[in-house]
Amino acid sequence: MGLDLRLRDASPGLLALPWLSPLAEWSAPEVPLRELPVGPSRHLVRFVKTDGRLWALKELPPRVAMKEYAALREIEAKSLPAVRPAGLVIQPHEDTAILVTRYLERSWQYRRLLMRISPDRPRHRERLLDAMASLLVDLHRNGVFWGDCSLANTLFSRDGQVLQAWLVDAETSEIHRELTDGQRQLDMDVLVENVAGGLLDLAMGLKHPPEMFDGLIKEAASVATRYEALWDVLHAEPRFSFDDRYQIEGQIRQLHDLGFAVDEVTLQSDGAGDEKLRLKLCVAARRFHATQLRELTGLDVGEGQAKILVADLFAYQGHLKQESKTCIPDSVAAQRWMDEVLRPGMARAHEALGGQGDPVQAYCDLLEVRWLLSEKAGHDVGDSTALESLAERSVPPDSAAQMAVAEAATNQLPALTRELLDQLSAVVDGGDLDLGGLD
Amino acid sequence: MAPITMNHITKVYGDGYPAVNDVSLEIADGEFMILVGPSGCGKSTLLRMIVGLEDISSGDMLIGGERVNEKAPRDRNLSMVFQNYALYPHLTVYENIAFPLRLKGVSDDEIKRRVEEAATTLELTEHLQRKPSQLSGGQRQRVAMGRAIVRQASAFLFDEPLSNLDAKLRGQMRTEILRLQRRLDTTTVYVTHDQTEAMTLGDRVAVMRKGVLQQVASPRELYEQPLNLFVAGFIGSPPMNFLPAAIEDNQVKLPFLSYPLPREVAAQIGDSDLLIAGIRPEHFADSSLVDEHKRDRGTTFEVKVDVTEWLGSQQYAYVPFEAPEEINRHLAELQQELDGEQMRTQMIVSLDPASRIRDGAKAELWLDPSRVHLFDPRTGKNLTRDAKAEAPAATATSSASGSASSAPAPAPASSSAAASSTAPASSAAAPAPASAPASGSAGSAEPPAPDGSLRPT
Repeated sequence: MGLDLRLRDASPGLLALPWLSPLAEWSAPEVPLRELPVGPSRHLVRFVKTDGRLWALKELPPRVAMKEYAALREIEAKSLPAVRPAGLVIQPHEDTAILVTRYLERSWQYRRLLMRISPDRPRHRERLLDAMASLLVDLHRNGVFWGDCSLANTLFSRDGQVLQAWLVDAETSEIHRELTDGQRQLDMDVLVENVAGGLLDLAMGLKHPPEMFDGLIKEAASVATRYEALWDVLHAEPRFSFDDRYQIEGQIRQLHDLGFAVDEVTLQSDGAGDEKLRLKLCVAARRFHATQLRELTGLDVGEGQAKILVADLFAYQGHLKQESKTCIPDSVAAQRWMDEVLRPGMARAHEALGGQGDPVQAYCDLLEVRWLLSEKAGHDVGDSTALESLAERSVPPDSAAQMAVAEAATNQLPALTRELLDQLSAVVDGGDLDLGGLD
Repeated sequence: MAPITMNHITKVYGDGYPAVNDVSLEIADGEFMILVGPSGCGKSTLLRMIVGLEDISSGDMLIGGERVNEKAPRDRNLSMVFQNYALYPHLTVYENIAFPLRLKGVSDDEIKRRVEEAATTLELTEHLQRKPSQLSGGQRQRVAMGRAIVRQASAFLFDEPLSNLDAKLRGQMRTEILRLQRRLDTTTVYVTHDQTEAMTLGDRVAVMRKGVLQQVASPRELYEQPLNLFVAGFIGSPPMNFLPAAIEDNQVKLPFLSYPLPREVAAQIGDSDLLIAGIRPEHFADSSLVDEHKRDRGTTFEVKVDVTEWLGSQQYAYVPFEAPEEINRHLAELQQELDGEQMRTQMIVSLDPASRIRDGAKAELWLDPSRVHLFDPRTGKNLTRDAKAEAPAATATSSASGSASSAPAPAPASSSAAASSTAPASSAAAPAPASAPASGSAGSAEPPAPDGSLRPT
């Protein structure tokens, strides 16, 4: 009996697993297996909880497993959003291999969100599709060709008012120095087709009315537009005359607003014969606000959350300045904001949500809901009204906070019945919410 | 449907490494072409240039006679089969096949027509309203193929489609792919590193090595008349035996026997006195089991058998031999390139399962020397290749596919290596030769380059 076992985290629980037997034959209670819903997969996938962590184990032919493991290692080295490879175990006597990845905490499959949200709320599906497009742009900028991008091969987690998508299946991935337009386009075409399939399948499974289907197909096709819009912003090379160089700042601000840091700015004449200069912005990772927040407070959170928190911090700094009529240094403001605003706010918001999900996210939800309710009421409704709305799970239906349903344990949710859906739409029709500028 | 033509296609990466080096290849309309070779030989890169995933450094790529070098993948009207073959459990078989067409805005009537036509081809008609879970494994694979068919692509492309399936499903799928291609008669390019797939599926097989096309021929021709040592070693399982062949007094002296040096070889070798002999395992026989009328055509000789393996329908004997350092060095290099595991200093002999030859015993074997290939160790060239013997007309069956008529004419003798020559040859070795193109093949007899590769000029 041969065995080739490599683990990147040699925790005792992982080492103790029955690596000599085929994965299909593992059984509880000898093995701490966990049942998690996964979409249709061409390979056997099982989950194991040991040493306080959840691991995903996938059985596949050794050649493919080795390729996927190597791809995931490279993707990790590039700090891209993907599951982290934890080990590769080859079982030569079975001519098979088991790929071990660490399960992403607080992440879920698209089905989980869409099953818990009314089909009449396309805004949430748009958030999913934006996250997919953003992930693919991230991968492509770094030379990763996915090959089989789909909703089912992706996990999602909440990140402020947006979603963060994570690549979970790299079986068909290839890593190149740079991708050709052909590679990007094929990946895009595959994504659109797979998203359409995924959305239709779920709609059919949930017995949604067939009249919806054309709309879903259009939504799926919109992933390409979302991708291209983002790609174009990141790769634009506008031309200016030297006197108009003040416009550069606007370009940089646009990138910052999307979360991208700028590594280098170059301004060069491009030999076109006129006086114009070509601007090139070397775009770095999508962690602009996250880096800013970490430098100010030491907090390490997602870019989407950081964007909200940095704005909150600066607003508080402004408030302190006005109150004391003196200049408040960033470090002092950051410390006071953490102690006086963030920590208590996080605690209350997390409690209102019954301790579900991430406390930082709970605070982001509180800010969003308070803002939306205040806008609707025409005056500041205060934290308490917003907290109540969070606790009763009666937040505005198109709000990002509504996506907290994806994180609730199954038994904490009322079943999504037709009546409940009608009730939900009635709530929405009652108030004319314009959420266009929010995300 | 369309022919695919590659004229002097080269792909050079940033580091100057030519992943594909001056490949010229004509794939006829309706032909099933396999690209095969060890990892890193450039076969996948070539396929990706057909699809539009890799930019072409130089040369022309034509699909249906039209140059596509600068065209985006989706404008080339090709279908990558099984690239994403997820079946959706809640969609009916019909919807699983149809939904990509909805994305393209194809009308409902047209979708219905295409899906029903594909279902007929795939024998799925009565399953159209079922869910994938109600189908067998093979039927599910056919649904995935249905998705490729309804696109009405000019050609199907497969990039190692079976590599992530288990052995059982792999066999099943191979049959399905072959059946589909024969029925639809769509030009197909199929990349694999697996020579079983190469030999059973293709009308013709293009063998690649280090970016250079080595030989393009029917599976049978590759097996029986390899152009060089590399092709001879790559095609065949268990592999061809390579033995030192000393030339003395107009005799070929192999480790266990001698026979007269063939005249056409003598004319080519000058004063070389050491060649490499290539002998397929099945060309040996237990001499006691050779028919009387056949015996005179060959020579008998005695060996000491190390180990035998009896597999029921087959039996193999392993016979160690010694070879001069020079030959061992050539063979070790070749072995490394072929990613092989076979130890080359023992001969594999395929015996009739009825043979009583046993481990450790002396045995008398029989061999017909006319089946032995002789290779020049410096260039790798096959000196015994019988260009006339390839694709004998007697084995060519009438073409049901019609591809023969549209096949390219054999290249003129002055053209580059085997690469650009040869119309589809008979695939009599393949299990389903019924629709194999029938025209003869004409591998170029041009001498190989001194480095052992066949460099197109």
